[in-house]
Amino acid sequence: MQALVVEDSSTIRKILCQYLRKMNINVVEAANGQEALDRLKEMSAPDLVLVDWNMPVMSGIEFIQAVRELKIYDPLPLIMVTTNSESEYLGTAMDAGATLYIQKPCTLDALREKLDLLGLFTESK
Amino acid sequence: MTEMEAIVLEFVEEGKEKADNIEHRLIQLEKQPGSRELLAEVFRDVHTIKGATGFLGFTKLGALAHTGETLLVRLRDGLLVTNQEIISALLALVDAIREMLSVIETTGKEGERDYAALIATLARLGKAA
Repeated sequence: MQALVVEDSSTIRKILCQYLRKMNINVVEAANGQEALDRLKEMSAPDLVLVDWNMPVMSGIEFIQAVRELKIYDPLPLIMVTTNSESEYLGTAMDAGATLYIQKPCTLDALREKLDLLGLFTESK
Repeated sequence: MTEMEAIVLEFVEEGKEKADNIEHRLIQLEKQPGSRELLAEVFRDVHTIKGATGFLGFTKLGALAHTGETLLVRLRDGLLVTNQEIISALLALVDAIREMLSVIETTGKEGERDYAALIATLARLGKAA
């Protein structure tokens, strides 16, 4: 199983990657939306993407919109990881094509629950 | 080094880099006080620091960054106009961030120093019409 983590903060990126590795998920990293589009094209079969909202070069929303325009990624779960909790922000994320969102800061258990909702996490994987 | 110590070290290094960026852009803002681009960049760097504090439990630094972020949102969105008092307060915020990062680097904790006066100043400036 392979995930792409898109986050401009190297600290938060490291934490999210650590969470995923603890769930035995391989991780590819990107520091902004543009870099993430490049990484995504290099990945053979990505299973999910965790994406931040506020990033330089290309934001998380712009990234999600760009991915959803590429029909081959239609089934790919895009999880917005954001400090923005107001409903209007979350509505914007879902309208752009996010599959789910998770509030920052999040714990390993909270992330595991979200992946479970998508049927992406089982102990055996 | 434990995983957590490595992450805290990463946070300190990233925070110092962001503090340098913020200071540099605040100095540029003194010459271009209306630059939304500069304000957006300063906001993003403060936001990044605040975001990481939440994961690491550095609540004092998080509260300080949050107050700065609230002021910066209003500046970025054109609801407030940048002036010298605001720039000075934001430069004081940078100093405080550096100070707390230095304490975290040495002790792993945020330290005892109280930043209530700075938080009150940033909050007052953020509320000004």
